Amino acid sequence: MANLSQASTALPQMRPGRFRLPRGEAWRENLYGYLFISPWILGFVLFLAGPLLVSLGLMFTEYAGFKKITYVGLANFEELIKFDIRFIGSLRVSAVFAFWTVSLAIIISLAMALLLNQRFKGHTFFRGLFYLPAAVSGVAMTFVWAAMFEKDYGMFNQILRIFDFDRVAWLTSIEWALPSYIIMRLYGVGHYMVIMLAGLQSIPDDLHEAAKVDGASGLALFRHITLPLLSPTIFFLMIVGMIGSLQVFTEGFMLTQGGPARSTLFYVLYLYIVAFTERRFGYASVLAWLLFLIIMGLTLLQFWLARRWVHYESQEA
Amino acid sequence: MATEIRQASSPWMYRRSLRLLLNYVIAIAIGIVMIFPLLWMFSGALKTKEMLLEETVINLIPPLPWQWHNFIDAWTALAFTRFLFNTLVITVASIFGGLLSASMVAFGFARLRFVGRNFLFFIVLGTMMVPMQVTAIPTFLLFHRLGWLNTYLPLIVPMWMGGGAFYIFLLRQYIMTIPTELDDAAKIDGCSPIGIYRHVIMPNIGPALAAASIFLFLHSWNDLWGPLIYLTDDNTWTLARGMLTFKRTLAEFRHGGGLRQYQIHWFLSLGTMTMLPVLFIYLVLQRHFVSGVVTSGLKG
Repeated sequence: MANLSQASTALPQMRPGRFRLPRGEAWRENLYGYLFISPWILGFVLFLAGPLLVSLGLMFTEYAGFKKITYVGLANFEELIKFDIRFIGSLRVSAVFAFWTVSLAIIISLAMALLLNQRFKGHTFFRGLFYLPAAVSGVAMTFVWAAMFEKDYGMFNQILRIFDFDRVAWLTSIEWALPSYIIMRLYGVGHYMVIMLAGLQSIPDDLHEAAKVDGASGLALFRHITLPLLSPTIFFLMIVGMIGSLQVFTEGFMLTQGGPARSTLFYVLYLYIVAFTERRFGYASVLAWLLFLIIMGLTLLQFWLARRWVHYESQEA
Repeated sequence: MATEIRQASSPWMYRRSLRLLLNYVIAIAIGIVMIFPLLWMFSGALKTKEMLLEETVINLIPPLPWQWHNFIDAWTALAFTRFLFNTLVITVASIFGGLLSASMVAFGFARLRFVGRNFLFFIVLGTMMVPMQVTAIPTFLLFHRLGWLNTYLPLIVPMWMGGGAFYIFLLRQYIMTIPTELDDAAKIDGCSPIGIYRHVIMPNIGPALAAASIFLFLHSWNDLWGPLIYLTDDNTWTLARGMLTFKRTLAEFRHGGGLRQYQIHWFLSLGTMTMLPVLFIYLVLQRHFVSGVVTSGLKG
């Protein structure tokens, strides 16, 4: 490891015609610096940069993981754009899912955060309770959702039965399968709420006080002070929420595997099926890179918006 | 609350206590929605399948006799003891390696001056954008070539290399809040950076390590993608992988004329058992849990 650190430390310092290696104290600190971050450098090369380049190359091939690898030019891209109805469908499923989960989660979490921000006695207890589902979400909870949505024994149909409604085929009907996933996701809304609450608490009290003195009503306070100052948090949650819902996999794979009739074929689920069920590594790489580009676009949008908002605030101050 | 109402002599005070009451009503209503599915799970785990099908009200306290054997039946339907062992090995090794390597890297970025530090840290942050699905195929091919399929290694080794940008970022932010005077004092006493890392930084970043270990734990405990790709031999399966097969095969008996009989009570007892560790950690470490989410805005 020491050799690698020394080499990479020295290199950036060398300029043509003026060789100056850092010496003494500076050299030592460079050495230690690279020594400490060497696990990350190794991981970055082996599990990130290297694989990224390989998958970039795989996009132009047909490969099933065995010896034979065929160069196919742009055929994979052509298939993606022209022929793949499953791809279009999965993009649509993910977009619909992301839209509804993110927008509903933001509205609900905002209401919950406003409630808890009143700081009534026991608000920390309720915060803990509201966050509980988000904390236990995971493979065990997914498993329980399978039971809750079950047609004959499940919790939801038990409740419907008590109120004399017809039972619903939650995960097994085309019209209800995707909404079931949205309900499932919204159960973890506490995650949004905690971040929203932190955003609310960062709004200085004196702004509210000043507006109150000017005679602003509760609604006007919310509309003209809370909401604008909270908008960076809301945008952040929107972007992070969209990225998160694009990457749904565990729930989808465990519960419906894309069915019925591809109504829950999420994008990453489709990617997994192409890659590891159908063993089409080349085509799956195209899908993966497209996902990467979408996520990168969303992230850059978030950065751009964040900068604008920070600018906006400082102008006001 | 009683005192609040007693004070309600003026109309303004009256409105205030009414509003407080409303707050509690709404908070309790949301709380019930949040807790109900979990209570349904706990109670259902102790019921027979017939009870779940036939009861006309939802009994959150299961009728006697409580079906404790549901837990044993579900647990022994597949080799879940083996899966638990595998999961624990992977989880413990990942947490240990993740904490060690991420704290080292975070210390490097937070405290040491080296050429290209800011640029490299920018790259660390940039890697958070890369979805793991993009690197999944080449990584799979790499592990395949190394002969690591059906071993724990593909799920552990990457965690020993910084554990991911998220953990590095989390720990670096926390290290930045520790006064550099402590470092300087140690330096004067003749400490090398390794000494500062061990004796100054590590003892002082407990809360951040706690938050990171929670997310590392959740990551390993809930990961389905990794085990699905790398572990095909059921001796190496984790709980999550085992539960997938449980869901797909054993819980859906073929009964009589092909009628599907869900062993739903097994779902609930198995779900309860695999959720308990997570629930326990949440209840004990709630503070670190929430602070970690807020610092990062992300979840492991």
